[in-house]
Amino acid sequence: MNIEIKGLKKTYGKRPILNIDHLSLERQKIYGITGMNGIGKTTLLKIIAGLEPYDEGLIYYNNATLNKSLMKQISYVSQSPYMFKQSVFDNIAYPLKLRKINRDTIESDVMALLNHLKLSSLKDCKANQLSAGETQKVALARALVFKPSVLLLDEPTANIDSETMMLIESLIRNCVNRDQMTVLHISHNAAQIERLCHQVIILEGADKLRIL
Amino acid sequence: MKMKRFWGTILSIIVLLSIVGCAKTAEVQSESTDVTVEAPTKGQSIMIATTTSTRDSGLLDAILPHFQETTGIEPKVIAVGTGKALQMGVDGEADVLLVHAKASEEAFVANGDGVERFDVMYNDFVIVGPMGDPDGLAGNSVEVCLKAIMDNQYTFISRGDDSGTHKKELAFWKQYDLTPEGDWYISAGKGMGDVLQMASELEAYTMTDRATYLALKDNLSLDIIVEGDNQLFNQYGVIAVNPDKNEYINAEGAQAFIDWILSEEAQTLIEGYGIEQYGQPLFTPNAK
Amino acid sequence: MEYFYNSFTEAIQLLITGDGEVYRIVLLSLLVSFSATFFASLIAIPLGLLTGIKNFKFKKTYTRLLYTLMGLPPVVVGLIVAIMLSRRGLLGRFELLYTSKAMIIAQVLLVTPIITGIIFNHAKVYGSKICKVCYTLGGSSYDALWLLIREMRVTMLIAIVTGFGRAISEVGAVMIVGGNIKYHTRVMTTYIAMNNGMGNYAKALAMGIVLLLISFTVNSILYNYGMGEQDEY
Repeated sequence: MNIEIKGLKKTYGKRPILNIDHLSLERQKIYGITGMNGIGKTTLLKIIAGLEPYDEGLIYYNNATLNKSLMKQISYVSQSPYMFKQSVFDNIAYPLKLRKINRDTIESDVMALLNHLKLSSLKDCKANQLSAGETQKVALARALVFKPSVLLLDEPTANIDSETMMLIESLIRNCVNRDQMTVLHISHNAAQIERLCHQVIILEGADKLRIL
Repeated sequence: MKMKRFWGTILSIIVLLSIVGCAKTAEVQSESTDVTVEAPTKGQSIMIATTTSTRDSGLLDAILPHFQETTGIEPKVIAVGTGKALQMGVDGEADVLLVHAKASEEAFVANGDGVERFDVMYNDFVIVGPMGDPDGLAGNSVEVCLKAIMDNQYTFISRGDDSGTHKKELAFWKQYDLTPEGDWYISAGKGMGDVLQMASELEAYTMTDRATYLALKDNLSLDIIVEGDNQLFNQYGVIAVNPDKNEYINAEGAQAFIDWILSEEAQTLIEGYGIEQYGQPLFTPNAK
Repeated sequence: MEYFYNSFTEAIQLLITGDGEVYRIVLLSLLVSFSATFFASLIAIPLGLLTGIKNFKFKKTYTRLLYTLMGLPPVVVGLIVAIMLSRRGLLGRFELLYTSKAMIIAQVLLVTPIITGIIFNHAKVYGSKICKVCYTLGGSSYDALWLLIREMRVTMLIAIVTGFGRAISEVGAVMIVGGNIKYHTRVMTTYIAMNNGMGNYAKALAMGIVLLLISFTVNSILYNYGMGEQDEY
């Protein structure tokens, strides 16, 4: 999905958080977002996800403004993802159940993700009893299982060992290639950004943005 | 799957509720079919406001079933302090009063709050104190006893609740020009049973009607210190509340109750109550 | 000490021999408190959920009010309800004072804030998070509400049990609005208070034991259902 942001302004009380004149995001690209803590990275992501209101500006998703069906194609993973009080399998299967996908498809799609992320052994475990790293893997799988057009990730690999990180990165790349997904990825890990992202957006202030 | 358990719980609660509800309804139904068919007022109920001491004596539990059998009216007894019972009468919250504060009762009728007052029965008041009479006050008159208690500051528990007993007690202090004040004089604000408990615990003195004392005697460590003084007479009266107060008052039922409690049948029952348990009757019927 | 022991053994005897009056009183207590909890839950659960997750203008004031209501003294509630329901009161025409219905009303008023408060608290913290996850995964508001109820299952159970516990063990409200009338509004707690006042410790203790047992049983059953899904809190 192509995303175009024009004249976006967001203030928190009196403090201006975001003041973006123009930002264009193309499909099938992975964008890294980085910057100092508290600069507004998470806020930007949430606004694009439709979870946070903004004061001024327009955001176009494939030339349309945000509506219900578009929201269904946008996926967001927060920094500390909430796990449902169900099994790992059920957590990941949830978005597919919402979309009333048939059981066999659910089974195969979920298992594919579980296998790729080496989570199959945890399939029936309670999702709210996992370690931080495992939780993040499950959250990602849950966010990807319904093949969204936009994937918004808020520091998805903060607590993760390098091997798992590789697994996650390869998964993201696969999805981008296969489904023409647009990815926005907040990270402080310069090496990872170098490795994974096509472009980097550096937030230096409410209205200062650099793209590399 | 987990949801099933949750809804299962909710369902069980509802089922439990229904069972209990049905059981309750069944009980109530079986109760009213127990009663003899002849009474024209079958299925009715009356609200009797009486005092806690009357209830605590157990008399009503013993004789009221006969009333229900004879008339078919269900007596609902609410036992409160005399003050509140009279207030309930004034407010039209009760249908008939059975209390023991003659002066207040007469005022009640004079004010138009009650229809007419009738004597029902009497018992007497006694002064009780610590078992074994450690202070040696037994056998004296009320006057001597109270004076001694006050002079020596022996602990005395007063009802303190505007009840008939309380008013009687206050009248006595006043009569002998005594003003009870100080830590030794405890105003409990409670019913007779509670006050006797307290007196028993604190090894103190109090004034009580004989009936309540006898009914509770086994659980108390109190002995009768003063009795038999003419002035300790405790008269019970029954009054129908003025039905003009509101449309909910069951005047017919109230009258049925008065007729019954003044009848020979009831009076005999009253006379006999207590003999088996305590070896002496608790009340003396004196309806005219 | 011997005195207490004697009362205790007498109490057990009374329980074993199965006094009809005792059963009646227990049944009535259960009916009143179960009903009250049921009706309170009907109001409290949706109220707690909705006010918990939504941000509205006077939320802070609402929160304070809710917490205050949770700690309402039962006897005060009883007093106010009694005044309203008395023959001279606003609702006198329903002739509810000194009936078990009045007791249920009073307990509903007492218990609703408690259940609401517990659910509100939890929904406040987790509610928006759960809803947001649902939206990001493609759910509608309806899906989000359903998910919320599912995720908050245990909290709701805890809230209901807590409410019930309060209802069945309080004595102030039911004494005032019920009047402890034999066969009609005499429940376990008023029975205990009355018998204690009369010095019938054995009877009071017997009923006290029953009350404890019931409390314990209800708690165990519901907790087993709820805690079958163990989780962190």
